[in-house]
Amino acid sequence: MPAEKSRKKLTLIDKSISYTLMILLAIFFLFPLIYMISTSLNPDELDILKRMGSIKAFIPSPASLKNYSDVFARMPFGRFIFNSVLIVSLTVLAGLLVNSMMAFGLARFTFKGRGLLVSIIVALMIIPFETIAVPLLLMTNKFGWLDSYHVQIIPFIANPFYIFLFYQFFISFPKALEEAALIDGASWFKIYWKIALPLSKPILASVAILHFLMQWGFFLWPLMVTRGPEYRPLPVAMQVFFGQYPRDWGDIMAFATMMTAPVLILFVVLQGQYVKSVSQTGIK
Amino acid sequence: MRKLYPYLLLIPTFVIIIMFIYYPAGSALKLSLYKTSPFGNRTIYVGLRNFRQLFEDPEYLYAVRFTLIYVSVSVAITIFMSFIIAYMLTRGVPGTRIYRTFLFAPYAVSPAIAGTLWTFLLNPVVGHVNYFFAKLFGIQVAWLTSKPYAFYALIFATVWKMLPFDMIFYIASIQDVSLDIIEASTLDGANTMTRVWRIIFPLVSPITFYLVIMNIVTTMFSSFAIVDVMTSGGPGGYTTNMIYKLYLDAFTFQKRGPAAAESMIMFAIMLVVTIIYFSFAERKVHYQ
Repeated sequence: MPAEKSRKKLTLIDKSISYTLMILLAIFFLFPLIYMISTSLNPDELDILKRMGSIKAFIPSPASLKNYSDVFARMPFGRFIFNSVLIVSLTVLAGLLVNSMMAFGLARFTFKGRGLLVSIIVALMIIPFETIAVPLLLMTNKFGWLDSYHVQIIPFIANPFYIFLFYQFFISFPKALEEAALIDGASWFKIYWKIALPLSKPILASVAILHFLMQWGFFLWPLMVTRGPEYRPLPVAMQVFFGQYPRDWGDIMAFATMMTAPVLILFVVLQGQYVKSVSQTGIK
Repeated sequence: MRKLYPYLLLIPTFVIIIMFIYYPAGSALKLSLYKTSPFGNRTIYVGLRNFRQLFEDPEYLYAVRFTLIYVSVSVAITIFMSFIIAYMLTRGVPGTRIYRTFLFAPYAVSPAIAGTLWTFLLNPVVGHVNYFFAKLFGIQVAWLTSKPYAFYALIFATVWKMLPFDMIFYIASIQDVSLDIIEASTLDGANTMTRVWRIIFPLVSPITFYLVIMNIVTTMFSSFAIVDVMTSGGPGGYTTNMIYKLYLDAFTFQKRGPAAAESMIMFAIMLVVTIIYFSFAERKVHYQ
């Protein structure tokens, strides 16, 4: 009986500690974002600076969309959004297809050189972009690809790390799965497309998120290969605001909000699948 | 035809990888053994001289040391904090589900924007952080332009950005730890601290290992944008880490040879990290 009592008391203390900690953490994690949004709604630059030292900075009043229209007036913002969405979605979609296809081939077939191929992919799984940027620039320049969409898409479709994630997932499928289908006369591509992919939603979502985030924030490469606004994506466009003094923080925050909002929405939508994939990919 | 089939699935992807990842990596290796002459575009084979020079360059050695400190401090803080938070969030306190979604938000913010936000909040004259610091401790700090505060500021922004990722993984794996084990340990009279660190933390060690590796990769490489936006490697090279130094050498100073040698050193480090990861993962399979 006393043990029972102390356990109950503990959980109550536990709970209140949990809640206090959660609130403190929420402040730490969310205040930069709340701040970003509320500042973006404040049309008065001087007022933004005045409010910075106080709690008032978090309350957007008087709220106006002036900064947002300023962003559109100062630059071809629509164009940048279009560029970013086009480049990122094509890269991610093509990436999901080719990376999962190769992983499927590696995981479900026995053929000459398979072991070697898997070890190459795995050993060179992480090649950071910055280390190959210069040779890649020289090469794409030779192709005459500079200042285009495809120079920002094609080199980033295939990725050994994503192949590895898919590979780990596909290799855990039971053999019986495709044997039954093969007896039914289904082709390999059909098995991949009709059976493997529909079972892979969690891993597809998870790779899509990783790939999307990487491409959406990609800065160095677009800066190197684009000259004018025609093919520029959002992260490079943001630089415009930092080149001029005094910096217009309202505009910067409006830009940052518009660049972050779509990702956050996508995230909330895919989050469930993402968490599921964590416990399914074998990296437990 | 049947025999050719696997190759049809593999070849398109493999060609792209070779062309746009392995081939440039190979060129970087070649470049690291050459020196570009100051005039014209003649290249001279110099063997390992680029590497030797790097290891004699105090600036590079400083960048290596700084990277080591920056990576270990930010990874240690992130792992420790994310585990604790994940544990709290799996206690079944109501409201944690929606809360989890909120906490995940910084992960979705791109590094350049994260850097911008913190630059603004850490502004020495009007920034919020200083306002609170002045209120609480009576000090006013030039966060981004003075030693050692520029380092703290970087750690701050890095942890903020990286922690949500680790937290999600910990939540998923703590939820997988069977309730029986936790119940049993409670009956044994283990207190909360013992339960958490002696029982649950070891049970999720595979995920910890995975996260440590992922965090090392993030802090080694993706830290570029945060460093660039917040401190630009300053004050006076104080926060220049390996990736930022590589960027400066390759693009600002156009030192192609040394920059390629720096790339090779980073490859080598990553290769070692990958090998360690897989030898650990293998052992885990035997263990089960």
